[in-house]
Amino acid sequence: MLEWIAFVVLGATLLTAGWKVVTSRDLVHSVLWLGLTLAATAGLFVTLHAEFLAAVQILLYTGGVVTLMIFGIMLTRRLSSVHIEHGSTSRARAFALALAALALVVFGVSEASRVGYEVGGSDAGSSGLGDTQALGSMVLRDLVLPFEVLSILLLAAMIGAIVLARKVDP
Amino acid sequence: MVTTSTGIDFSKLRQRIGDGLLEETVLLPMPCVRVKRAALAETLQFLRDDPEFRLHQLSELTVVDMLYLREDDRFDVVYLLRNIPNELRVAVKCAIPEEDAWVPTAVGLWAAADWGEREAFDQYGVRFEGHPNLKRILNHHEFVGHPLRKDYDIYRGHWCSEAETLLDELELRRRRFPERRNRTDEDPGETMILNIGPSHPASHGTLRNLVELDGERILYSIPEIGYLHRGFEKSAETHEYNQVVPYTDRLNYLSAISNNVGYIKAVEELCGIEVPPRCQAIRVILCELSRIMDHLVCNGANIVDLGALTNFWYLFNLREKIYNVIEGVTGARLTNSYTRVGGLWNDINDDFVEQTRAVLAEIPQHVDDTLKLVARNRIFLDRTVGVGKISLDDAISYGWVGPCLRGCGLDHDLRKSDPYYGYEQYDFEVPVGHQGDSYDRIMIRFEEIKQSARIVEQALDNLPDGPFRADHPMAYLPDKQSKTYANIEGLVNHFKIVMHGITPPQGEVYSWTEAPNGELGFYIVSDGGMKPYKCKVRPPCFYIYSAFPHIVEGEMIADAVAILGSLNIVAGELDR
Amino acid sequence: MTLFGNPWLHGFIMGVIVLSGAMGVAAYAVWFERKFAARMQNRPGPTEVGYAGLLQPIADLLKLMQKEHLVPFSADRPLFNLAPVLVVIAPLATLAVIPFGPGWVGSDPSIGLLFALALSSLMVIPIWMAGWASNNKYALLGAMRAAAQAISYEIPLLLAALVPIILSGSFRIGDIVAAQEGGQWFALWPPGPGFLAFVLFFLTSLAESNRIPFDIPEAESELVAGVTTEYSGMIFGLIYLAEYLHTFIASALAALLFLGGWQGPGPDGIHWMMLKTVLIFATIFWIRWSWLRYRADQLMSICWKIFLPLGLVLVMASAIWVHLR
Repeated sequence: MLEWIAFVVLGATLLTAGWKVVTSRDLVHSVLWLGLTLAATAGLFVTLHAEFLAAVQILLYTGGVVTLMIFGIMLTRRLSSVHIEHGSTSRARAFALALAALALVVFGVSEASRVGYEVGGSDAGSSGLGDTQALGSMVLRDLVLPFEVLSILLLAAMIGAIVLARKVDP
Repeated sequence: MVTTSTGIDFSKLRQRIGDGLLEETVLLPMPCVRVKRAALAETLQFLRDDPEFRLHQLSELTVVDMLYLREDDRFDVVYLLRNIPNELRVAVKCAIPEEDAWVPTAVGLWAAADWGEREAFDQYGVRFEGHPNLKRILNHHEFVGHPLRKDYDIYRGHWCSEAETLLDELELRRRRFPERRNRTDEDPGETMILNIGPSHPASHGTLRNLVELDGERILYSIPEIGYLHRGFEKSAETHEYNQVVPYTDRLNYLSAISNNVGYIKAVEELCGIEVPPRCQAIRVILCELSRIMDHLVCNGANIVDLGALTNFWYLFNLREKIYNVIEGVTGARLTNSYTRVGGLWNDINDDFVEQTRAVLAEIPQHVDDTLKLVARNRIFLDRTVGVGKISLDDAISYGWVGPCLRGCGLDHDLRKSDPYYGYEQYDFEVPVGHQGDSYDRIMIRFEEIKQSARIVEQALDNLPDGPFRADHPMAYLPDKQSKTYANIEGLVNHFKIVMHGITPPQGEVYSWTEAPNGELGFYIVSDGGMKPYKCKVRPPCFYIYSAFPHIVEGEMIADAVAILGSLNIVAGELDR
Repeated sequence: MTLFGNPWLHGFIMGVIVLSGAMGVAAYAVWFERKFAARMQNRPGPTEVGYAGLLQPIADLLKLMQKEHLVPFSADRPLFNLAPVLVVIAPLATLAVIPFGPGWVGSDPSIGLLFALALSSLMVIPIWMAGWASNNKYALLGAMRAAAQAISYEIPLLLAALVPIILSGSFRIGDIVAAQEGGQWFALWPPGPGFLAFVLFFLTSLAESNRIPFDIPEAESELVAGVTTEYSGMIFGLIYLAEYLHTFIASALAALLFLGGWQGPGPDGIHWMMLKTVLIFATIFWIRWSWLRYRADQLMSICWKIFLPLGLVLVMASAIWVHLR
């Protein structure tokens, strides 16, 4: 019962915040709504007993990525005004993209439940994830390939960013 | 007054400009040449560049309104030039008529001419042709007329409603130094224009600084001063000589007695009064105590600007103790008005000597406590060493004096190079920095505190007995029983002082003292009346502050605040 | 694990104790700091309200509450009003997982430490919101500094916190404290990396809670009051409160992670925890009143050139230590 209430409240928050991210005309408001969206997602993780994931979600996404976006706004935009407007130029295209993404998610979820894919053994929901040893062996043994692929992706992105940000050859 | 020959040979100048040189006179105590306007630019150039003169500092630039003194050309533009190491000073005067009141600018020769000419333009309406930014500097931009002209109606009111945007000056500066904008990047991106002040925790007093920022780096800085302009010089012209003393308190209010002494020394030189040794020694003691207090405030506030609050109390507690001593002597803490022409308001109180000794004994502890906290603190060094650097040549050209100039590595102190009041008999050292950064300026002030304490100690040891004021008819009212009622000279003397006040002979004098901030000069013109015809003060921090944009452009905003503190800008003295 | 049997009852009682305790701590931290600073500076500090000024925080609170709540004309009103409220949420929520003694904890989840660090990383967003919404250039500069500082210092903070996590093999704060049983505090043992990690954690927490020498977001002599420039009254008080809570939590975490928490010579208990927390708290004040402030760029270069490599080395060293043990 309690989890059901939490799910409804968090879900409603998430949907509202997500909606506001897209519809808000003020860039800063959008980013802050995005922060709320990500935090609500973390709340959903908690109701699913994925506490570690929830904490990482807050630490990296809400604390890190949103701050980074904020920083991006401050570095690239004029600093002397509160309101920075933004908006989509083509609503139809955005709508089509959103539908496609939704279809992908629905497909993925239904596939996963059909196959019955689980990560980290049966007791992932219990205190097992507080144990660093279990966590470490999971990341660096069971999931080492995705982990390394991600690392290389991030490294490439970082090098790309440096190359882009660098001035013309001295 | 005796017009002494100063022994300076101007024959080379005469060869150069021929009959452009009208007259060789004396502006006490320095030689003075009077030149035609057509020869002015060349004279200034010659005096700056000739190896015999090398007058590398424009010490003061002002105008005298000769409306009531002579018939023809109304204004005298006065340049006081100076070679610091040789202690050589030369005055240059140029007379110009009212209807055609202009002279060529000297901005290209001395950086100090920038603000000096703006002030002269503001106060007298003399135009300096070729000046890049000839705007009002002390008075409000909506002010009408030129207040120091003799025919200015002082009861006139002004409606000044709008603050200046200063964007015109910013544009000028952008055009003058385009490279500063592009230093970091070919596309500097968006910049931010920020007003630091006039009311800001770091502007000790009321200073406004418009800065253009790229991130936190200052690209351009436009200082605006005059928020505390009270018209000291105009007030001085309408008060008797002794009545001006309280006004001088408000110049550098952190060391009021230094200003009292600086002003009164000029008047005494004008009158030819020599004060007795006891008076000199007392003045030295109080001036050095004032210097200590001034440096305590400056360094304490500066370290607060850097983020450390505790030192402020260590230094201010000491300042309060010194104030207790000074209160005992003068009856006031902040605004003392202690000096009078020919002497002092009163002799020192009985326990002054022991009180002072007690305070002197405490100075090392307070200063060392502070130094222990900061002197070898890594953060302090990171924040001050190499920050706010200025080269010696630039500093001289901008008219820097005092501790700030010594910070650039010039071993020069008026108390050593041109001793007055018997400074030559005291044993003290002049601390000198070597790279002209904030660190040097702060440390020089700490060291000067200790050296001043040494001077006070020696002066207390050898405090002469005798009268505390000169035996001169103008110095004090004659004793009633033995003089005024006893003989006719006494009666006349009493009558003259009461009815006419102090009347120095006609003439002019420029007198200087080493105030805590550097050379504090008073240029007084007397028409023989009981009030100064003109009284121009040369506040050290006016010219020091004019170099502020030059120093801070390219620095971070946090450093600008710390640099401002290290320059010891006192708004009362800056704006007068 | 629960003191009061029923988890609901326990949660409720602990919530009341922790929240009211936190308010008291924050209020009296101000008094303590003022007295502490005053003693350093040869002055008495608050003396008038109550014995030794002990009622001063209450007087301050009343004063703040009476003040008018001003919103600048051109501010982003909703954000401006929301930010101070959000700013206190993160530290108050963090208090739920901080154990003050055996069983004296709202909840000690398996990811307790991660949760606490995640919430402390959240604090920068409302601070930034406050600065941005004020539509004041000084506030904006402060907000920018706050964001830059938070992004940079979060990484070494996490790395420093990883050291006790690796050494104890758990994210649960209770487990980390238990692993330091018998005086084997992580600040002392293993000798090198443990102590360095403690210092690193302490310094980066100073930066995270905007304390001197890292208080550049509100550097009062440069930025007037940084992000709080336009705030007045109790809503300013909330930001102030959050800062003290944040500092308090950082001290408590340092005590838990590196100084053995509530364990000590003699009987274990909440008194040891409080003593250690207050000592670290006082050290923070001590530093605040004796050091100067770094410049923004120096702050960054220290973070990226010293703290970050040091953190990485410490994590490696502790991993090797655990492996060899």
